[in-house]
Amino acid sequence: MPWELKNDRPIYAQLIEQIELKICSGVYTPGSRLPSVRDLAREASVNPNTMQRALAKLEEDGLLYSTRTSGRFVTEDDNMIYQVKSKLAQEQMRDFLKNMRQLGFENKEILSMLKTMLEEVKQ
Amino acid sequence: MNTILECKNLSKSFGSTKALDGINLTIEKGRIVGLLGPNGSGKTTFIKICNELLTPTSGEVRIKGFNPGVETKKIVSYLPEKTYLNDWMKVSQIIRFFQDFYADFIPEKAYDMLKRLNIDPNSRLKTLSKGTKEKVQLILVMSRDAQLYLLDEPIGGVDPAARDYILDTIISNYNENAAVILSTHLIADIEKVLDDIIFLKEGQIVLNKTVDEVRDESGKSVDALFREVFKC
Amino acid sequence: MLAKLLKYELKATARWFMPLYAALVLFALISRFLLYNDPFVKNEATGFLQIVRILSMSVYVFLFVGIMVVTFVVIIQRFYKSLLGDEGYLMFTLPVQTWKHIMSKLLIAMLWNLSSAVVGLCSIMLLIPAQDLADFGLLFTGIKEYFGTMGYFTILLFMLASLVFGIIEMYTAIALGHLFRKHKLLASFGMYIGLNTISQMAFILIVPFFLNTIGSLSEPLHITPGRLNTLILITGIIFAALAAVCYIVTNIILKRKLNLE
Repeated sequence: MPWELKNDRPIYAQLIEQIELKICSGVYTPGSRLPSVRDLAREASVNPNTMQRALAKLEEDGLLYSTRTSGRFVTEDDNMIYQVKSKLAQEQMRDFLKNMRQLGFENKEILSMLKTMLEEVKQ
Repeated sequence: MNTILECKNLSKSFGSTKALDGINLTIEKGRIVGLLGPNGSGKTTFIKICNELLTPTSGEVRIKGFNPGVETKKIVSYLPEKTYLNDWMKVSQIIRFFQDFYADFIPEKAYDMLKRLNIDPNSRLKTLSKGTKEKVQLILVMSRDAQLYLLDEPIGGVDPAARDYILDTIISNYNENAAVILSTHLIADIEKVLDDIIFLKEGQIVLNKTVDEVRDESGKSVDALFREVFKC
Repeated sequence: MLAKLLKYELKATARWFMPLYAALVLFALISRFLLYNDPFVKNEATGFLQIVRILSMSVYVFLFVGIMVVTFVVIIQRFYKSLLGDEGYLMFTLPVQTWKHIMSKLLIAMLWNLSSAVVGLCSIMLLIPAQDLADFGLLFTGIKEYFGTMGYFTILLFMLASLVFGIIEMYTAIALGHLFRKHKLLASFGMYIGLNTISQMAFILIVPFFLNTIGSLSEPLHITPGRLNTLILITGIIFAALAAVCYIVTNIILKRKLNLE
């Protein structure tokens, strides 16, 4: 999964989101060891300091933890991961609804269109 | 000491032209700093002064407490815009040259990078293309374990793939005890790699912030802000 | 650090001189063989042999003059290109004091100047058989007569001092020319003429001062080896002093007024 960093938002915040996404989608599995700060920075083509700050924040939030000798790991706390997943999902849904309302659709329409789409996708 | 470079009221005039006008600057270790400005804004003049290739008209620059001189040259690694390689040496010989004069030069690192870029150490510098010479220079500069790296337009005349390689080298070379100052006018490519950015306009600093501060406060990328500030 | 600079300066320049020296010696030997070897002299000089002789001597002379020219050109080029051209970015960021850069170029320039002279002399001795060289001996007896054995020392010191001055004068001219924004080469040339004029004026002013030791205008000249040696020595010292001034000026310009393009 490539790193998608936009131009106009602070990199630090975007890195946090991207790592959360990678954890939620299973790119970084629970309990797995993360690459070093330097390697992650190289992957994302960002400043190592910024990457370090993002990782530190995620540690603070509990999504990551580090041992003194072995590096950084993803938490094994499934509940925590689920919470982050939900948070990201909520954001996606809010954005979706905002866009749909901008197009002029009402809640009832949105719900039925969504149901139809889900059916189609199942096939 | 956390400060690598300190600049107080630095000014440089060439005859009646003022290239630098009262520059005040402090750069701490572990930072990658972008010196951004259009051509003629004073970026190269500033970097040359840090290397004792020019002397200030007034004010001073101190690198780890020393004025630019023999002591600073031991700890400063400089990549000029120009190709400065002589034409009679082979690549292996210029590596030996750097090894002879710089105590912090690591030949293994240089050979490693040459290998990865498919540059034959036995080839004569004279026979290399311009792009390859620039890569060799970059390798020589980055193979030093310096405390300050001064890169003048490192991605200027280079193709996008080489650009990526250069940025990757800068990131992977990152040393929290050293500082990197790179000057460029190609901001979009390097923005994400920088900690701090300094806008230099007509010899004066008009902005000195971190990249994220700029994005937060203005809602724009540094590149977009640059275009605004330096609109023709 | 100076030793390292000398090493690299030598490497950079040897590739020009060694082949030329070898070729000169080779053609000296070839010409010697063709011109002086008995079987060739005794036999009738055929047209073909004459042509070969002339060719061989021509190449020899060409090489001889060529070495002089190359020595001159290399000395200038090494200073100009290596320190004030693009390579200057490499050299002046080395952790080496400026005076060492000048010194390394000067010493190696002197080395090649002296070796070119020695090689040239040796090639002449190879070319011309000993008996014909006897005339050279007169030179040495002349020196002994006028200067005494001290003469060898004083003349040597004088030649060394004038060699050093000759080289450093060119460096200073180039450095002064570098101060101009445009037409640097022309300025250097002008500066060189200027420096020559100044040094000549120095001689005109100082030497008569010391000529009094030899004799005043009223008395007949009383030339002794001692007095001649003194004169030569003083001239040598003047050269040395001028060289020192040039060195200091060059150092100041390169240290404080450097402005590479």
